[in-house]
Amino acid sequence: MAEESFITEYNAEEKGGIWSFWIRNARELIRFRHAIYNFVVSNLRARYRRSTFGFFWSLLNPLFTMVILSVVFSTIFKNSLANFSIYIFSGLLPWTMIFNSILNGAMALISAERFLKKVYIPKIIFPIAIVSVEAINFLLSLISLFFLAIFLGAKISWVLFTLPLALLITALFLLGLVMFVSMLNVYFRDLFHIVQVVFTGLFYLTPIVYPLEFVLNSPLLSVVVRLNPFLYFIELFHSIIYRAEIPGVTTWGICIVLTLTSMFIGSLVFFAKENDVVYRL
Amino acid sequence: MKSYIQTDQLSVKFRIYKNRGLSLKEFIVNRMFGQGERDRYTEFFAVNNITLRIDSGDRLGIVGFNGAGKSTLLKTIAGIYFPHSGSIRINGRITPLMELGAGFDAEQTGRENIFLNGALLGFSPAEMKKKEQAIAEFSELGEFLNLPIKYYSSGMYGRLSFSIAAMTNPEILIIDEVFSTGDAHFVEKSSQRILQLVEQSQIVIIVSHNLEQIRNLCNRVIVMDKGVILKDGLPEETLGFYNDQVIHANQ
Repeated sequence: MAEESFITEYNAEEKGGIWSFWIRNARELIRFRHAIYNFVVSNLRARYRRSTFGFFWSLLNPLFTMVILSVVFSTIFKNSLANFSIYIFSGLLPWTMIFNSILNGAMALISAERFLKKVYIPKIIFPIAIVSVEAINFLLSLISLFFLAIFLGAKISWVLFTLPLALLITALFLLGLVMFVSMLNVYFRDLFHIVQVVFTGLFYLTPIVYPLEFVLNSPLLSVVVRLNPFLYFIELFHSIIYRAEIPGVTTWGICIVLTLTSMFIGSLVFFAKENDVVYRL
Repeated sequence: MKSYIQTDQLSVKFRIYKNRGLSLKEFIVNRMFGQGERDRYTEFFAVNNITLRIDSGDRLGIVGFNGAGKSTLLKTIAGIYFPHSGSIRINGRITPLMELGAGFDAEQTGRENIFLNGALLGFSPAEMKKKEQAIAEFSELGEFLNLPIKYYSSGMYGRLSFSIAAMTNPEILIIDEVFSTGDAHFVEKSSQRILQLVEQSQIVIIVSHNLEQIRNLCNRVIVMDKGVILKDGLPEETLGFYNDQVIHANQ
């Protein structure tokens, strides 16, 4: 590394567009890749450190939640328990990833204060690390719970090969959102609490503990539920894991458009304020 | 490769808030009733329109009263603060020796923090693996290295910080008053090492209130006050100028 010559430039007069920001940040991300790796690994490790079951909590926690929700809601909807638990499992895991990403993401820059104010570090690292941690947790839980799902009668098919694509799109969608909320939360600290309430509500506006058909009877509800962007991402996972079908073109299309929108708005807000944020912490 | 630092009409300003965070409600209410955010803070320039060229071979000391903008200038060079106007161009890798425990994660062990800190300086885990032994030995932290650093005393923090920075072969070394870390034995040892580091580095910038130290280490000194450079030159003349100021302030 020592032979490498690099020139760094900070110029207040130079205002670039989103592309030039991303190009500069991509270069920084390559330079700081070991730091991202360290943040992700230490975060995963810290989560399970000192608990007796350690990593198995990533399996046990969703397992218990799933059992509780399945028993309660299969009774309410008079569905078969085995079938319904696979449904809940395939929606609950991505929802957990969404919920945790946004909630931890809202605090991403604020809790990174000790780094941001003391060393040079590209700010984009923190949203990326948060979403990566949640995506990895999703995968860990998914893999371990899959054995149970098979036992309960889940279909294994080659459709599962589209799962990484669904995960990637969802993660990028979340990255845009996290860039947005993490930055905004520095300026409006109330946002964290608002987000918490909104997402608790959104959980019930997303077909996770009830089937989508359940709300389609009511014209009002079906409109509201369709306006919920998370519906389409959860639908990807319902389709791939629960129904063993490749998601429809419309679903993919809507998800891609939503992802591009969130990445665009997230980048716009994040890059507009990334140089100012250290003065506001 | 020859390192250099060039700042051009560099300014950094701070806001002093009467009330820190702005809630969403306050923001909307303020906007609606046309009450500007401006009433809530005052601004001042910590670094004001500074144009400065530092070349390879310079051992630059920065002196000045508290609040003169010395540390802000260092932090801007280190990339922590982004300038509000003007620009700064740096050729070379910067090793900051600024705040103790900067870039540490309290939950991670000392050993893990060696890798984290290395990563923030741009070193891969493999490169840090090679330095790990030397860092561990220099820090003399022994078994404590396997403990999360939230249990460290400030002296131990300082040792680890310094030991990592000391093993990274800096091109541009930035030092902000970190000499007196740890016990007398470690202070002696680290002062020795700093001399070596200053020798090896292409550019060294030191902020210190210890004028004796500046005189010994530097071949160029600037005097700062209220965000501007009052004097720039050889240590004898600038330090003399600064001493006059100190005497003047005392009267």
